[in-house]
Amino acid sequence: MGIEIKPENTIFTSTQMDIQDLYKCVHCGLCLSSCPTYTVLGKETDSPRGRIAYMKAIYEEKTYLTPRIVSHLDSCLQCRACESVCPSGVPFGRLMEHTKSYIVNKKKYSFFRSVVNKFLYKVVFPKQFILSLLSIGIKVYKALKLNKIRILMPGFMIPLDKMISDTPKEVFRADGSIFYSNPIVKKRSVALLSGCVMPIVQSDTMRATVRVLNKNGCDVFVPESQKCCGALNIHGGDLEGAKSLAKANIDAFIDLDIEAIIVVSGGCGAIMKEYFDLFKNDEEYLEKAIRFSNKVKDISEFLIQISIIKPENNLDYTVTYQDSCHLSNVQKITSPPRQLLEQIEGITIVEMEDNKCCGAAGVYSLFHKEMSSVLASSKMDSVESTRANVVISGNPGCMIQINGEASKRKSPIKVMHLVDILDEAYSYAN
Amino acid sequence: MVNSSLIKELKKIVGDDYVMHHPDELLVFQYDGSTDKALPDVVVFPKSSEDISSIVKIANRYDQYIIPRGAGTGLSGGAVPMYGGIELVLTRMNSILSIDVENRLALVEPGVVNLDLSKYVASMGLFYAPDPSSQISCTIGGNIAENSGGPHCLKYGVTTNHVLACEIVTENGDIIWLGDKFRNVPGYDLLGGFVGSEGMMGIATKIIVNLLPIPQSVKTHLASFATIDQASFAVSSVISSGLIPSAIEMMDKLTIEAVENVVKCGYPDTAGAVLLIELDGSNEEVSEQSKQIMDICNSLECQDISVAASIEERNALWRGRKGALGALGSLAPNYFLVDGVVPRTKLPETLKTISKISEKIDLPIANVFHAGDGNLHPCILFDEQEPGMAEKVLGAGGEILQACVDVGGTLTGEHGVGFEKKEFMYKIFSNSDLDQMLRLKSSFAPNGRLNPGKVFPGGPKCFDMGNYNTFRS
Ligand SMILES: Cc1cc2nc3c(=O)[nH]c(=O)nc-3n(C[C@H](O)[C@H](O)[C@H](O)COP(=O)(O)OP(=O)(O)OC[C@H]3O[C@@H](n4cnc5c(N)ncnc54)[C@H](O)[C@@H]3O)c2cc1C
Ligand code: SF4
Ligand code: SF4
Repeated sequence: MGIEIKPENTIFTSTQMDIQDLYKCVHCGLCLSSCPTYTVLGKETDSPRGRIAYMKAIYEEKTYLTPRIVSHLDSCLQCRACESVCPSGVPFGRLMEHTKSYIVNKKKYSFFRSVVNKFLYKVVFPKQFILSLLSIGIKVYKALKLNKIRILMPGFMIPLDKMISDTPKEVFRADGSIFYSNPIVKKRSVALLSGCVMPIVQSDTMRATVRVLNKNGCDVFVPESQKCCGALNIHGGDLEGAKSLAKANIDAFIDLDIEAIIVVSGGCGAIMKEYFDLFKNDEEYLEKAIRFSNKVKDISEFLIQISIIKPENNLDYTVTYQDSCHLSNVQKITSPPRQLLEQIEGITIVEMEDNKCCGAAGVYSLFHKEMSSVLASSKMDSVESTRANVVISGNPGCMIQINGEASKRKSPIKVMHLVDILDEAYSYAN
Repeated sequence: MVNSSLIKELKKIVGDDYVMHHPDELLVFQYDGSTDKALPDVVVFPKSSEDISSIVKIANRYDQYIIPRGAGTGLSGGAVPMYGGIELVLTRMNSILSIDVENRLALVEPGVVNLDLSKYVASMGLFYAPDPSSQISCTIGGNIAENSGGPHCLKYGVTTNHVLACEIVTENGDIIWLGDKFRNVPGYDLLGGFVGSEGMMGIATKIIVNLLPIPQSVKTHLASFATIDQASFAVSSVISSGLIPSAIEMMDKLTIEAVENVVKCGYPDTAGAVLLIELDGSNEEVSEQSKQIMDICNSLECQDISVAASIEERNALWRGRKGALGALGSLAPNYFLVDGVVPRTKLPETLKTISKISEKIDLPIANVFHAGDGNLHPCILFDEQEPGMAEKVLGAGGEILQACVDVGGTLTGEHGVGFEKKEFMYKIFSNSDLDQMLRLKSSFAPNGRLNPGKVFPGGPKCFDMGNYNTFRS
């Protein structure tokens, strides 16, 4: 076959991948058409089955991480759509996380990519102050009114500009505050994950979350020592970085006397429900992680569980709901958000035909512009064909992506978080 | 080995992005859904019939084999390039070109995914009937090449009953049409011969299929029985009562366990076998027939019989059935799926023989199959890493097929012969039968350039213009 075996081609030992997981795949191909990259390219090389075959071939030392193989593995969105249709129960997400980590360990990313990775995973996400700098940057950008010159901008700047223009003035700080609910309703206590990007870019949504929870009788505590959830580190192959973030969060929340840890980002919730995967060899944290994960609740599942007070306002919107990949494919939450929307009078829900990944996928869009924008565009086509005037989502990444695509098309469609619309349905009565 | 000028010429036709030839990349084109494996020398992704015609002509000049490939879900090694050559992947040709609602016809490209067609025409009140369990991924082109069936073929027939015409590219690069959108065509029915030819007679590039109106009402029953014998008897009783359910599927205990492990769709864990019986038609018809089904099953002491109350429940029942093979994959690293057909009345007897074979080779064999047509799918679970396993499993597969043939059945219900089962062809065909089949194939593809080494026993070349009577002697 002519492939030279290189000494660096050691097995995935460095990442502790469970090799049994690889062999669960019986190459039946049933996952192919659920995979966004396969659907766009029509190539086995960029399909779940193909990626698993590459992992197996590397493990069996039939090849090594060649640049071509790296590029096919790296084009995976980690959306885990394949995992949810796989009849063999192949834990694709986990396999891919280990594989990415293997790519990083073997230094197979380009120099530029490695530097950006390090900067993002070691500096930006874990350190809230960098994010604060970012928020100052945004303020300066706005003060200079750079957004007034959108006509002069190159196309790729428009989504970014849109995101900046939509950023609220005030950030939402995880400063240990407790927001008390209306004392008339039966009391519950919950803690809230503030996250890393949301408190800046979507701080209004964070405030809305607090109001909606308060309205429904929940006191909301926002621990100060919490950190970024680590999802982006895990997806980028920085398992060690993710572990230390996970530990910090476990420590911040584990001893609180609360009913649930509320998360309003599908991606964060998904990873927090899987923290125990990181601590297979750390008994102390494994036990804590399991307890922690059991408390993590997406806002929609929690609100359905406690059954909410019916919103008073009539909202005359036609909405379509965007299933965030990690909410639907990993957390398996698809009906609670829809059930919540149904409780708002006046709202008409129209389903999109195609519910594939929108191409946001964390930092994916930074490194795979082309694929990301093809997916964004096809998502927007599905959105537009519903004739909805509002898109609802439970994940900030999807919201930014769809918003960006909408502004590229000059579409008047509004993108809202599920809690934003609930808040609107409650607020006038308050 | 391929030379660089071949690559250059191919790239000229489809563009650089759509030719792959580096050995590392090619690793993922060496398999399909079966256990066979072999690497192609180059992989090409054409976009049109014209592309394919040019590629075929180039292959002729360079003396290369051409192996068509759809989604690669085949279960008999059909798309595996056993002798290398150019793998022609048709996934980019995936447009639904036109729908004629009045005449209920669709003109599609071969790479269209089976289920996508049904989804696309659903809003017009139509569906495409052949529904292989792999329908979420497999392509219409692959379906034609394998003459695929599916659970609902009991009532609706297999692929060949739903294809009206096909544009094909022949071995010398000509583009021709077989059949016509009118159901009766003067002259020979060449389309009938082409469907099921496993990529050896030509490459399907456009296809006209027949669509059916979505039935007014559908009822899916889940009946559980203590033993597989009782369930088999129920199948015979239902069919002999004159009812034609749209599907009758059986799953044995091992399969039920596997499915519930992974898919969780509510099959009872106390059952020795379950049947999925689906009825469709007008409201009155279906509720009347449903009563009859209930009566028959109850009179045969079924443990329980229920009807799916909602679309979700129905989908869950089918998700279990359609995911059964994959779910079995969760029990062992590999499975070998045998695809034999027996007369319905011989089901219990054949299943007993299978369970004896399972004991003998000391490997579990699960049974999940289209019971209504007697199309068995015994699934041998094994681990290919263990030495000597491959021969053991192949041997057992052979014994099972022999058992099917012995009771008056046949070799394949729907998965094709491919590479995997070609040596078994002698079991049901005489030399003269095979000769005749070969002459038909050779009249389309005399040089054996298209998908060599499949269907006919022997190597890639020995049967080119061959004569089985001489070949075997
Ligand atoms: C889990 C599972 C369940 C299955 N269930 C069923 C079932 O219920 N019923 C059933 O019948 N099959 C079933 N199959 C088998 C398989 O899905 C079918 O044979 C299917 O038709 C193959 O389609 P494909 O696109 O994957 O073709 P491939 O596997 O890519 O190719 C199959 C054959 O078709 C040829 N071919 C492909 N496209 C063309 C073309 N355009 N022109 C000429 N030749 C072509 C190839 O050369 C090859 O010989 C199942 C498979 C799996 C993995
Ligand atoms: S990942 Fe699952 S669905 Fe995909 S080929 Fe492997 S077993 Fe089949
Ligand atoms: S995670 Fe998403 S992009 Fe990656 S292989 Fe699975 S379906 Fe494809």
